[in-house]
Amino acid sequence: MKFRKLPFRNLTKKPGRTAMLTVLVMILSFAMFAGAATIFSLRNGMKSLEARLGADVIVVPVSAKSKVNLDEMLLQGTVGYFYMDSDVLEKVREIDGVEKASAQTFLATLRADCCSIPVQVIGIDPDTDFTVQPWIAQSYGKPLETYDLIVGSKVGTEIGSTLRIYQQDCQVVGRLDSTGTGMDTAVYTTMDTMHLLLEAAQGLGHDLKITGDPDEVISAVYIKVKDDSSAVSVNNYINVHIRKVESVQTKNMLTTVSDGMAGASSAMTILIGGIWVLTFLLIIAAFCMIIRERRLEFAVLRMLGASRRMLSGMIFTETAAICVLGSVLGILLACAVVFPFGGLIEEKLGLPFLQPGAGMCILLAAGTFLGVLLTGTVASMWTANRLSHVDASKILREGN
Amino acid sequence: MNKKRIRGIDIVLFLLCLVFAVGMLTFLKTCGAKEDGSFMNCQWAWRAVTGISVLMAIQSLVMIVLRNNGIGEGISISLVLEAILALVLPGCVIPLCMMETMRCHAIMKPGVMVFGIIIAVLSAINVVLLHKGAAKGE
Repeated sequence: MKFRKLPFRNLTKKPGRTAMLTVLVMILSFAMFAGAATIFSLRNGMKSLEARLGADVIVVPVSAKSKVNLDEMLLQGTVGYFYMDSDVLEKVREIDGVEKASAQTFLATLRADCCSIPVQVIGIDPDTDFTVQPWIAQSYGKPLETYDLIVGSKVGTEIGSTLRIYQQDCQVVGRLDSTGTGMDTAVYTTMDTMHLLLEAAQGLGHDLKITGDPDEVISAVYIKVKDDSSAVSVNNYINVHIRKVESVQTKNMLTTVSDGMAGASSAMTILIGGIWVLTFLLIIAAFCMIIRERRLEFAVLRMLGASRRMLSGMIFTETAAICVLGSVLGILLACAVVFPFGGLIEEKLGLPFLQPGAGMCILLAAGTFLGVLLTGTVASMWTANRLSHVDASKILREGN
Repeated sequence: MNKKRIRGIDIVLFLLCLVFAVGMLTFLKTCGAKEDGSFMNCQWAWRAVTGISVLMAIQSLVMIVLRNNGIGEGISISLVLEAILALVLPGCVIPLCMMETMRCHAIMKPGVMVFGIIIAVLSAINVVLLHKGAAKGE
């Protein structure tokens, strides 16, 4: 048998030992890859949320807070509806410092065709909207007709299919890209369609608490403040001067989410660091014990003519083989947990969660693979160095 | 007659199929009946995959009990096909709920995907190993 085949023979002839070391490396690799992928997904979600929110200030009726949690509704897609007179939009547009203002109207379906959960329908004005329309334009280049719908990425209906809302057949004409935010579970349409749906809902006896004409109501006004103006002053002005509405700064909402994300991210980084240190020490300890047990074997090899360099090379090869196998298995296991169950992780964390693209995932996997290989090699380097100073004749004389 | 010793891969396959079947009946379960007593689409997908997973667990147990290469190879081939069928049932053959945040999309489908792929790959490896063993006359 050739000497270079010896490390692989050592691994296969001691399956228990090889399995134990492989599992150790696999845990490290799993923790590194799964943790990194989750942290990247949270960061992507936050970036996407900041980019998609677009508005500096949101104005809602004062009754909105008693009906729904505004942060959850606007950021996480919790279903809800509330209405105010559409003249609020005109009042807001007249305020100094307001660059753009656009209204949205919300409606919650009681039941979609297939599911027992309500779907949030959001009416936008395509001519003035600056929060959703840019993303709709990317997915669907044409103007939206009456009863046309654009669905979020997590609404599982095919483009071209019909969605029946309050007995009105609406055509799904496009789908938004995934954002990792509440936008993914909503359905978007024009204000004209929204007013028809509101009338249909009222016609079916649903009490939407609309006083007056359904064509003259809106749910929220999204405001973009001029660069030379302050969102705080616009926000305060609205709260003081416009009656029956409440103005909310989106920066405050984002701060809440970003604080939550920073907390989750830090906890995960500490956990990965802890697992890395623990696994590193365990690998060193395991190699030390194994090499101590195998001193006689190494002494015999030395007596048969193997140089110290050859013995060190053998340990390196054994370690590298274990690290390659363990890290590949760990990465595959992490892929099987993080990617398919991304929706569940998002739900449990309650934070914007947008998984990285294939390119970034490959980079993360490569980084994890190299990191684990380096950790294993450094851990075995110390033991290999000790081994090179072993006095073979003394070990053979003493018998251990 | 001396029986052959139990193979490690057979035990792993049995445990995987058992966890899959138990999982389908517990943590991978979809939503129950609606208020009006009717069921959502995903219920039928769940029932079909649960049936397949129980069948797979029984077949993998039979493979361990009989310890016969020919029968084992046949069962392994059927496990590969059943795992593929389980993979395509939720979503492709039987539609799931509309909202992808629901249990059927967030828990059942990914769970079936992970178990299905692992069992299909391991069973395929088992087929190759048993076929090679048969060729060597073991």
